[in-house]
Amino acid sequence: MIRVENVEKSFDGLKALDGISLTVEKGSVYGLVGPNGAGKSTIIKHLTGVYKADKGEVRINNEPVYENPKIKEKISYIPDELFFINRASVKQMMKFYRNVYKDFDMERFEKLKEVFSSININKPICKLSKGMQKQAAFWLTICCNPEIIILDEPVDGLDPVMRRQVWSLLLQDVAERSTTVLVSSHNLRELEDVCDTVGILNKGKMMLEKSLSSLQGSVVKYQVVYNGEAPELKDKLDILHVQNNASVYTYIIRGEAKMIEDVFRSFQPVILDVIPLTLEEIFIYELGGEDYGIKDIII
Amino acid sequence: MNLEAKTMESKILSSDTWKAPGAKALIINNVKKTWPIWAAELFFLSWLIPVSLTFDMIYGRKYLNLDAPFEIAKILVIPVCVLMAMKLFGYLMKEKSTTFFHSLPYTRTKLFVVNAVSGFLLIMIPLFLVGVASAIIAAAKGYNVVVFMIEWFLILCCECIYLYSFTILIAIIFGTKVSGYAMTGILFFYAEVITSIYSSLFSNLHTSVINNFIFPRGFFQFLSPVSMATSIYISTDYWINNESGYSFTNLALTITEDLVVGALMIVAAFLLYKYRKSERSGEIIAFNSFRLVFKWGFAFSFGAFLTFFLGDAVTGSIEMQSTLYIVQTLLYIFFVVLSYVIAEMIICKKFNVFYKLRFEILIPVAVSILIALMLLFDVFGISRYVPDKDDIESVNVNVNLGINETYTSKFGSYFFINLNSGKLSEYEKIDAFLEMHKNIIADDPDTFTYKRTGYNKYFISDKATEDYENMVHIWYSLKDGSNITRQYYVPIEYVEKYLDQMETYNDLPKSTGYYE
Repeated sequence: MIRVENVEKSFDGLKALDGISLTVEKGSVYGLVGPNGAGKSTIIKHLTGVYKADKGEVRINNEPVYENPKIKEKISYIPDELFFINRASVKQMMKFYRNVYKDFDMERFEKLKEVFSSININKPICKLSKGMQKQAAFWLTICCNPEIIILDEPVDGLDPVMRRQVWSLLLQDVAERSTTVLVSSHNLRELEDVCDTVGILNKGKMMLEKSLSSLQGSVVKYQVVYNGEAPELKDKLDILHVQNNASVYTYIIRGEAKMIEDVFRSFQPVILDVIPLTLEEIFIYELGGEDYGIKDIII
Repeated sequence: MNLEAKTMESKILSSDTWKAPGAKALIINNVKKTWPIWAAELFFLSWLIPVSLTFDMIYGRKYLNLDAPFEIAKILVIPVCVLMAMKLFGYLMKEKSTTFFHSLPYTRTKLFVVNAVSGFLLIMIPLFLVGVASAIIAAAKGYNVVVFMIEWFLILCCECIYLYSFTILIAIIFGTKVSGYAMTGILFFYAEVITSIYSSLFSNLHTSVINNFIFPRGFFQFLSPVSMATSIYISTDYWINNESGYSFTNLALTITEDLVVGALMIVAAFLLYKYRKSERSGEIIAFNSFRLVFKWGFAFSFGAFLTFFLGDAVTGSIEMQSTLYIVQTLLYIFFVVLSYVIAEMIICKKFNVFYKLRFEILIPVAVSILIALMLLFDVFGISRYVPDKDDIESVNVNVNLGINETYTSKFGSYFFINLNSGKLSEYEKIDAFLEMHKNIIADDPDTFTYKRTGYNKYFISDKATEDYENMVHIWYSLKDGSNITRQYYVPIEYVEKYLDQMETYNDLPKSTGYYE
């Protein structure tokens, strides 16, 4: 379990993290979303023991991470900018990791050769394409059998097929080994299908942190056609957004679906349809009206 | 089985720092990463000593000459230590690599210790192999050089501890890119810079001669790797029939200094490494407070260097000494300021720093003007310094007279007196020398201003040459082992006056004559 409590970090007087707290349950996938410069990579570097917090605590399994090899041994991390030692090949990096992480799984490494068959394991990784380098990083990370996988902008540069394959491998680990995954992205769409919980960061602050199921259950979207004038609903429902196109009204409303539907039905609409909300719509309307850089995370 | 293995472990091996597998991975990585450095060291040292000895043997030379290889090895380990430290701690200069290494399951202590120790071993192993090979080859030739090679190895080992620790400290503070190498260069040679370049520069500014401003190194020598590395000399006889010997000068003292200063620096480097924030990776200088050290150190060292080497192109064509002072002072200020700006460019990693420095630049200007004025008026009395009689072990005086076709002195063209046997009777005569030295100073401003109004000694003309023929050169060897040298250009009539005074000491050992 990952717990971050009121972490603050400044760089030359500029506050990069301003009292961030987050909790990631064991065996879950946590998506950290935010525009560029929101502080995603900074908080991730605290989680991996690279940075030391100016204030606050970063704990994994109830132990501090910084300068704690016992905890860091359980973490595998793929940064946004990959680094491989000394023009090393995948084979050489595998040997390095095997010496560093005692749980490195050679059997798995051999098995995964089929998945990453396009990679020449004897070629220096720096000579491979960006996508292949990313694949190599995933390959090595998964083979470390970590309890926690931390991914910073993980699938940039991967083609859609490989993205799917990589996520499938990670989710398999989550399901079978209760691996905890924390993944950051500036793109909500990327995380929609995989995350259990999502936190939105902006300007070093956690704007919102909720489980996906509670978010999806808390906001609903209806299309309604009335028989006549649209009724006044503001005092009856917590309407986040309403759009009118001829006689069709589209509502996004915070609240329980059953109760909302009962309210609409009391006005005897001609048509009443529930429409699925995308994650990005939920965030837009949850944080609507505020300048949280939301545009940046859905474009 | 496991229990057995655990019981067999020593305390050091079972400590967290060395516990496999982490340390092993780092060590293997370090060996691979630095192979060009240790391979080059092994190649050149092998070529210098065992291969050379083998050829001696093949061609039947009946002696071993180990002086030269030893001296060369002392110098060779300097770049090896610098490159090794820079390479092993170079990861701190890139955010990607810092993030990689600091996210691995190691403590900072483990990373530092494994890197530092493995690098040191990679420097020492080629030396050890060369030492063993040399001893074997010499033994095949009938000479037993085992003890010599052990001492040789120990000396280089201590020197490497010093140099390597020094460079690691610089790498941690100033990084391993341009600023790191610049500071390494400056700090490695700064004792030499101060004692030679500044001495020369100051002497010119003060219208005196270079030797008067050679600062006693004293404490600074311990912080100058080059001074330390070159302080042990070997003197060997030819090893004919295995009977001749060898001796290392300053051996015990230098080894102790190397070890003590090296240990202090590696501890300082370790503490700074632990304090160094990962987010500072990629920055030229990781600690804000050291930026000032870098800027000022670079400005005054590199500024003096440029004035010394580039200034000559301008000052050599100036006829009068009085103009020379002004020009040289202005050049010094200009080059110090230029170096200050360059230092800022290095730190900021951009060329356009002038606007930022528009006010700040006035500080080095003021300081360099102050230095120039202090030298011009000899505020610290360096040129006027006369040592205490009780501190003097021996004295030598050498007087050159401006003899040419138009002028002949009764003393000839040179007059040389020495007093170096250290006997009590001669000790009494030291007064004669001190008196002359004090007279020269007392004749100020006549003697000191003599060259201020004369010709530039670097200006090629007969007049200039004549002007600088008249020189009194005094060497003092002090009882603490140091030397003081003072030289004065003085008008010919003053020279003769001093020599007349010296003539009263008829029993002084002296020689006079004419240059052919």
